[in-house]
Amino acid sequence: MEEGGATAKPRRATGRLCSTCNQRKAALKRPKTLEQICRECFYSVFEDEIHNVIMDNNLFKPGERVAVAASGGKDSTVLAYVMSELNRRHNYGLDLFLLSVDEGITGYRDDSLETVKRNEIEYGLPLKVVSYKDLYGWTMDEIVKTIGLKNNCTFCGVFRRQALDRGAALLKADKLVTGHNADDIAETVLLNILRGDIARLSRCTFITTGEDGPIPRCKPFKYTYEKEIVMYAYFKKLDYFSTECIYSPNAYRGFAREFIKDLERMRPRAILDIIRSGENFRTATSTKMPEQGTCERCGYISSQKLCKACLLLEGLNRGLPKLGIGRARGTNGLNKRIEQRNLGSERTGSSIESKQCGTLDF
Amino acid sequence: MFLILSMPSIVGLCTLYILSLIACEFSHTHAIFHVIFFLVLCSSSLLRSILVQLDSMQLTLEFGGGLELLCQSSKIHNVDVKPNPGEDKLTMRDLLAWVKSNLIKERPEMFMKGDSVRPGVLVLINDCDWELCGSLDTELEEKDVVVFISTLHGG
Repeated sequence: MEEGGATAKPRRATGRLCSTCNQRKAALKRPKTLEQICRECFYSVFEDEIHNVIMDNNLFKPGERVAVAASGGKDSTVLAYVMSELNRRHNYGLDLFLLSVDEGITGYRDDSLETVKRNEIEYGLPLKVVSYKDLYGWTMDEIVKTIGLKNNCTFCGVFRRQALDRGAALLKADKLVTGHNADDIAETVLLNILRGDIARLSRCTFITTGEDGPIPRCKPFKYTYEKEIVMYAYFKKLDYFSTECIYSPNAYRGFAREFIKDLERMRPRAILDIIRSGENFRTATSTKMPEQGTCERCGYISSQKLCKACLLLEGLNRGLPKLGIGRARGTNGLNKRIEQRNLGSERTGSSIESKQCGTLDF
Repeated sequence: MFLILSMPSIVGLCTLYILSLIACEFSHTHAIFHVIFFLVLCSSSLLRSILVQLDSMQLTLEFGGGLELLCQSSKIHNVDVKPNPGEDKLTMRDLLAWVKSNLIKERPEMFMKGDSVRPGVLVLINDCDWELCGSLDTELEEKDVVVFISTLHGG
């Protein structure tokens, strides 16, 4: 049935050969370089680039315990796969773990956790699940029941951030790796410019953050295009979960993301260029940055007396769920100014609001 | 042979049949002609319907990365798609329009933007990135497998 490309029907580029090996049929166009490349060459260049990013930035030291933040989605599934592959191939000497957060969202997180559990078996990486219920006493289902569908993503995002740190601490991990890809980072750069958030703008392109804190986080996919991650998962038939969170059905509509994707279609390099611009921003030395301290209740890093999670939790427990949300007026002893300053208080926090809640935040 | 020749013009045959009906009105001796004409008509329309089937293209469409939720949570669809009237080729542009009106049951804006897929939706034709085979202008062939994967869901 299939004729070998070159005959009567030149209509399709089925005959095009890989620009790297010149032997096999090209399977995709790389957004980064516009090269046409076959599957095998794609696998090796994809993995090699990530290996190079890891080596060039000295992300890990031999013997370290590294927790892979795993949501069951495409990025973290590919990350877990590639990390265990590279660790084996290049003898990084890392002890790898999967770390998942159970927000307590029936019909969403319980299903995606099943995916993570399959990954645990398939890649042979031990899994640790920390739940909002255990850490905070509330599931997201219960929180939504109390506060409704407004601002629920704020709770989820703030809680997840801390939950990952606490889970990593429980695992005695030296580092936490997250699956943030180049598209995510370009989007965050744009968002931080739009918000005028200087503090986050300067650190959102760092490949490692929180080095002075207990558990540094790093992003081995910093320069990896989302398209290539999805193609890799598709060609390798990796098992990932892609249902959107039931509490944020439209959260990914974000303008920044849409804008990035439009730019990518016109000129795929644009994503790397935005990251590059973000890296090259220099904050004037006279700019006053929020000072870092620790939360007096839980000891988590915070620039305020209470960290954002404790503030939100206090609101929930006292039946004042607006506490710590948006520009709500200060109530019950917490004055307005503190709350407003609290908005930008978290240390390395920089949530990607346009992505769905299930996504791990910066 | 006769059938094949007569096939393209059912309309002509119908006219003939009706004419013959008028000609042989009430003449029972010619009833046999009625039967013959009727048979010819039937078989030619049968053949024609087979030909129409040949005109349309059998394709396998796969939706992933969350797009399956837009078409009743079914990932794989085996479909027959006809080229637009007056054209003998089916391009990806035509297919996308067809998918939008026939398979997508909700939120079409998650799948399409303008006449193409929404940026961030990957398309593979027979496991080959559609950007390598002409994107919207790719001409489809019988038994092609077209895969749509959204990258827009979190990870």
